Amino acid sequence: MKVAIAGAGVVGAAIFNKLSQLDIEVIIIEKNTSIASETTMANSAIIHSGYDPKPGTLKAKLNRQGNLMYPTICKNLDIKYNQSGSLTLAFSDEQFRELDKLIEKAKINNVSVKKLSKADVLTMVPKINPEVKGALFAPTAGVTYPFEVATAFIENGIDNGGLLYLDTHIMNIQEMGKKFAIETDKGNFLVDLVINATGVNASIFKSMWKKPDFNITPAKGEYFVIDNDIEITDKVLFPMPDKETKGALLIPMVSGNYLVGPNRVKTTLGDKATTQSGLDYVWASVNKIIEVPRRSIIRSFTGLRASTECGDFIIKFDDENKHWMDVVGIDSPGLASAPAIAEYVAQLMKKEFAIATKKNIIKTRQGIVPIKGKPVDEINTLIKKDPRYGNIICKCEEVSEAEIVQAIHSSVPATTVKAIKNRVRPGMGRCQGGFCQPKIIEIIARELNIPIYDVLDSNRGTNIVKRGDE
Amino acid sequence: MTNYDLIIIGGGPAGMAAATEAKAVGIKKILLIEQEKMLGGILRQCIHNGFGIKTFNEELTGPAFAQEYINIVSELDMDILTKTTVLNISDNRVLTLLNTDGAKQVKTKALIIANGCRERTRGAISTPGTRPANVYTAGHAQYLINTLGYKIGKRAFVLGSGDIGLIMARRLAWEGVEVLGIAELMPYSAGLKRNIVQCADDFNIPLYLSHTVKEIYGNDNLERITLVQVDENLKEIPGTEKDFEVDLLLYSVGLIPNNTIFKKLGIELSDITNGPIVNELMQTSKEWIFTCGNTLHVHDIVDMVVDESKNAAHGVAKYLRHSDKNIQRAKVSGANGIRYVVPQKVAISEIDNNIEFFMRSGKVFGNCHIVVTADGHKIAQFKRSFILPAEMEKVTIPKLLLIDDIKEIVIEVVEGEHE
Repeated sequence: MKVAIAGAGVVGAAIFNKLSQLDIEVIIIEKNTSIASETTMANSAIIHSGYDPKPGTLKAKLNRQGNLMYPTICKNLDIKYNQSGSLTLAFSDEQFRELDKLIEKAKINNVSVKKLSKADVLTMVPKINPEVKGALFAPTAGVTYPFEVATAFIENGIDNGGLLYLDTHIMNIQEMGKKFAIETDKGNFLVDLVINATGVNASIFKSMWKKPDFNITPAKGEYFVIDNDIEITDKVLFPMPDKETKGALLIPMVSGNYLVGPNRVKTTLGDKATTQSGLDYVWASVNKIIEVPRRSIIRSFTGLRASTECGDFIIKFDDENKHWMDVVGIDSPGLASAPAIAEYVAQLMKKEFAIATKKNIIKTRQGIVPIKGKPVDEINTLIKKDPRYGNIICKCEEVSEAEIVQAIHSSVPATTVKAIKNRVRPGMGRCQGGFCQPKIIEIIARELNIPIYDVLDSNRGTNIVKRGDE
Repeated sequence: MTNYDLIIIGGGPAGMAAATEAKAVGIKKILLIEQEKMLGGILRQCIHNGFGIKTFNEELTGPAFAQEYINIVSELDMDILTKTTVLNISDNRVLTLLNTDGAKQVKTKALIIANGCRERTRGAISTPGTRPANVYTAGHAQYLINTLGYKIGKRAFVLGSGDIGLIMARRLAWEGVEVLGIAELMPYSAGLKRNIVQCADDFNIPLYLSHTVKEIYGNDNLERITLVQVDENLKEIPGTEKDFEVDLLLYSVGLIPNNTIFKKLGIELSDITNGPIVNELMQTSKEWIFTCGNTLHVHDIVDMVVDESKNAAHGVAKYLRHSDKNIQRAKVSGANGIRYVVPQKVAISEIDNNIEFFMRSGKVFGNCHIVVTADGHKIAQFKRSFILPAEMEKVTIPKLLLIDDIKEIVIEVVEGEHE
């Protein structure tokens, strides 16, 4: 059996990882020059505890299950994970009473939470706005780095025999009896199962074959990134949603930065623009909870959520053809649910197809070792192996040349300035690549043995250095 | 572990001037550390001239100025490490250094941090819109064009009329790039007068005062920007939007001292300069750590950096001779138009012959005086035909005008003829 997963976001990556452990052929096709460069790269990075989804939904089931899987996955696949919990904060007596409803929901969803008094909250988050009345503490909530999660899933999947096709555009899809023919600009594939994990593009993608029975309505979320040279809290802070708005979050990222956001604005596909009103809203919203210094902002960005009208994940074979599976409408808590989604997909497949488990599965994966924060003796061991560990390219994030070279030559290659930034962080810091980007361009050209003119910022056509006649 | 009397972090003009002066005043064992492959700092990419009129009595290009200092420093008996990063500074005065030979620790009696500044980015000021390629800070583009010789666009716009913005607008024009305009949020330019004339006016590049970039368009590559006029409160005026199709956008919207190193050390910072608070020795709140140059506060003229860095070397020499922790210091501050003064504290008894105060105004003044008062009494005034926020001012006060137990020195601008 041969399976093609379309879309190498975190959901596609998790499915790829799971299916690579089965005795089948699996490929994953990504149109961008890098994996995980859309919704996966622009979300809240939270592994939600799972108390919040509507009980009885796929979201409720898979979020809790995914949350329980993350600690082991992150340990096995060398992914940073901070499970320091989340607080849902009440700022009025009414909100404080409303917390009981959330506790009820948590009970039904089988997620352990605790109601905190004002004093408890002040102890846990000393910098919180002292107007706080109390909070709901979800100790199993955590934060990870979604790009690294997707990378680790795919690298490990490749180790187990899966194949990644990057920068590969699917031009046409044809139903051929019990198979699908996938025509791409990098060659054609004949597969027994197509898994549609194309996120915000899911209905467009399916339209290549037939009229989709779902409709993706992208919802924009805007964020600020806060510098990692200040400390605010180690807890994810949620405001209590009120009737009008859900409010924005403060998220302590595994990199030491904070995210402020998101809002939620319905939009059209492809709209990744931040807006003044959106940014003003998230900033004001978070600063009602806790003070964030304006001068520590280093970036703002927008992510698109692949929402559907039904509000729940849609994970099922096509109603008429079991050789096509849709894994769509994966908005929040999609990241938290991703590994459980993959399990669920595998279960659905096993019911329909005779599939055996592979022998000798490689269960662990080693990420690129960063030099940042390492003690002197460990650094010297690294430098003995590769002196390029001694050459710091990104000053803000202390990223060495060795890490960048490893990212370029990884089995999930990061070959553009943006992909390298997402993978090993040069350019993520407060100077936003002003000092290191020129060096990275030259390293990419050298390592790939391509002219400097062919080095890309992100996708095709984003050549940074122009030729004289351009 | 090697022991030094003085380690200097940063081999730009501040670090090199401090090193040279430190040697001149007799500090023996010195280490100068530079992260890049050669000394010189950001001057190496500033290929325009106008550097060093005071220091070397001639107008040099940035690289030529840097080379003059590199020549001086190379003749001196001191250790120089290039391509070396300082990974950590610990309270027991041990620095962890990293280069391709490995990581090692060195000990020092005193440290001068002269690691410059960075540019405020599009991200920091949160211009709305998409996040395409080809949006750069001016210095970043300057490095790509001047140092590496790359072509990075054909039709450009510059946001911010600071010196680097103005100079890069001219540089792009020289390179055959069509520069559609320079926008400035404030009603006045943030650059030196000579740069407005020589860079914008002489090249017919329109300067849009009281304008900013409202939105950026283009998914992968920059395609277009919308410019908008702002009112006196810097609020956008609806209906004044203009679109420009460009494939290159440069930000020259301010420089920020590289202050993370100080934050990590718990050194007291100024909310106004974003750099450390220092005394007349250029000493920070950690007695063994001194600072000078753009990491202390952002300069516009390299000669002033040199003066200030020499002061830091003198400060270290004094500190190494004797250190009096309980010395009384007068508080120095700016008022009426003077945004800040460096140093912010001064021990009158420690001054040799005179003291230099560096300062910046918050607005434009014409025909005025810089007036210095000590505990409410005017002690000196300096006539100026104009004062601009873009141009740092320096005044030198002879010690004989100051008495030892002064509590507060205030420096302010007084407009008009003044006695």
